[in-house]
Amino acid sequence: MFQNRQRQVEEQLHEYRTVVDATMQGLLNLFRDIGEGERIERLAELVDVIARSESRADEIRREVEVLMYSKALFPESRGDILQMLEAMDRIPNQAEKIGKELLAYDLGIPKKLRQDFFRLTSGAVDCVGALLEASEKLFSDFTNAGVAVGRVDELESAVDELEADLIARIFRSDRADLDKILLRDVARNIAGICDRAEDAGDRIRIMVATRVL
Amino acid sequence: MVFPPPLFGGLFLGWALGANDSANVFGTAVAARIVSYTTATLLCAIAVIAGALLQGESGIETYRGLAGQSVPTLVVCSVAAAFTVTLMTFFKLPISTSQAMVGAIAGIGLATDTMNWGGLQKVVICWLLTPVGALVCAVILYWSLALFFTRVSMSMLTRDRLLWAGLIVTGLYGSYALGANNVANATGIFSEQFEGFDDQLLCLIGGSAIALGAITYSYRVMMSVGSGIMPLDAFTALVAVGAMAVTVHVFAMLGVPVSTSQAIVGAILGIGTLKGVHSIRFRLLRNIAVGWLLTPTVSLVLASSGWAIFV
Repeated sequence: MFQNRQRQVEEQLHEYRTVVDATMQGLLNLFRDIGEGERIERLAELVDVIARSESRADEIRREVEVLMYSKALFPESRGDILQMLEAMDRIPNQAEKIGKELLAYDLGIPKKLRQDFFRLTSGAVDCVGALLEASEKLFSDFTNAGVAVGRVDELESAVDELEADLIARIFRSDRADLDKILLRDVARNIAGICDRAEDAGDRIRIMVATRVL
Repeated sequence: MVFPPPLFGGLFLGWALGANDSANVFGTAVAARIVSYTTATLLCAIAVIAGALLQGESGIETYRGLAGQSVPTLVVCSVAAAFTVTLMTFFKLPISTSQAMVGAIAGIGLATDTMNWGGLQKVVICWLLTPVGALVCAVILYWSLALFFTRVSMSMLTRDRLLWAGLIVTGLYGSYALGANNVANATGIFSEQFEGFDDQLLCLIGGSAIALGAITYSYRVMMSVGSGIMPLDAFTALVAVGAMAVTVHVFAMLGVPVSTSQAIVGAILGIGTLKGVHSIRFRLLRNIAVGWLLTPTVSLVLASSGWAIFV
């Protein structure tokens, strides 16, 4: 019984990681494909991909919660896994928020800044990828999950630098002031994904620390 | 065959012992909701009776040889031990039924000049060795298990599953050791006193009384065990209960009833020395030391006074 529950939980968490990764890939595709003057329908399509992944992530999280409340696993692990999921769930939420704001503002990325935005998003995708790897380690080699979290911190710092550079470039550009502010917010929101990944990484670090002998 | 009335004292002592000491075995697992209370007490009850029946006789032999007994001294012994246990509980000092009972037997032995000093010496040495032995066992067990859990790559959930299985196994073993070692406290002094009540039957009666105590009245003690000397997680609980079980079982084989509470204290101290002494609640340790000295002394004085007054 215990083994079946464990397998179920591990399978669902694996699916959750896949979906979070898909959400991030959707965001990366969006910043690769969307330039200024792009058709809004195309933007809506790309945002829809992200939104669907985000909804699926929510569904899986709720399924895991139900499984946990049906008394699967140690009480301590139940709480830890739920808290980690809650922290991780803020990542797809943030990705969806970025897409929806771009759509709402009908904001295209200026050609001169596209490469910078893509690089920033790519950095965020890598950072989340490192987090997903660390969380996967919890269910294969948990004592080394803490080490894997270190990579999340490194990538978060790198993204912070990219964000600062990009914001400086936005404000040096010849765009209208309102555009500059909106683009700055987009850059901040992308970097915010890494802050959320770092928070989730901290949860993993605590989970490992409380179990290390 | 009529049930001798003095044996009711032993039954009561066994019941109280089961209610208190089963928490040493399954308390942490129950308090942390790793094992349900019902499962824990049922497993405990079965293993206690098995331990009492299979290996409880040598402890009874030791008690039989400590001092000469008659029906009146049996009653005095039981009452003195029970009263000491109650007194210690009232002052919230840790209880050792073994020390209370041996103290009472020694009181009678001194009063009637039938004390077997060699036997008493063996018992006292074992009392001293109980926490030390459990401490050493805990350190060895901690190192070995920690080596396994850190060297072998595994899922956090597999680790949980192994700990769960380990807690059940050590809980069963601890309960078995409790029955084997402590049944003498309940019915040991009645050995060869009543016709038809041989040692095997006394083991069954004593073991059943301990099992009944575990089933009917151990919930509160189990739930409060988590606020003991230091907080225990599943891993440290496994080590503590395992070390306690090995120690108590060794003394059961030597035929000396010892305190499971003192064994678990020794085991937790062993873990504390490895994890850092800051996690140990020293005030509680002081109380344990006071209880350790007071229990046999009070029981001895009560039993010898009781003999002088009533017999």
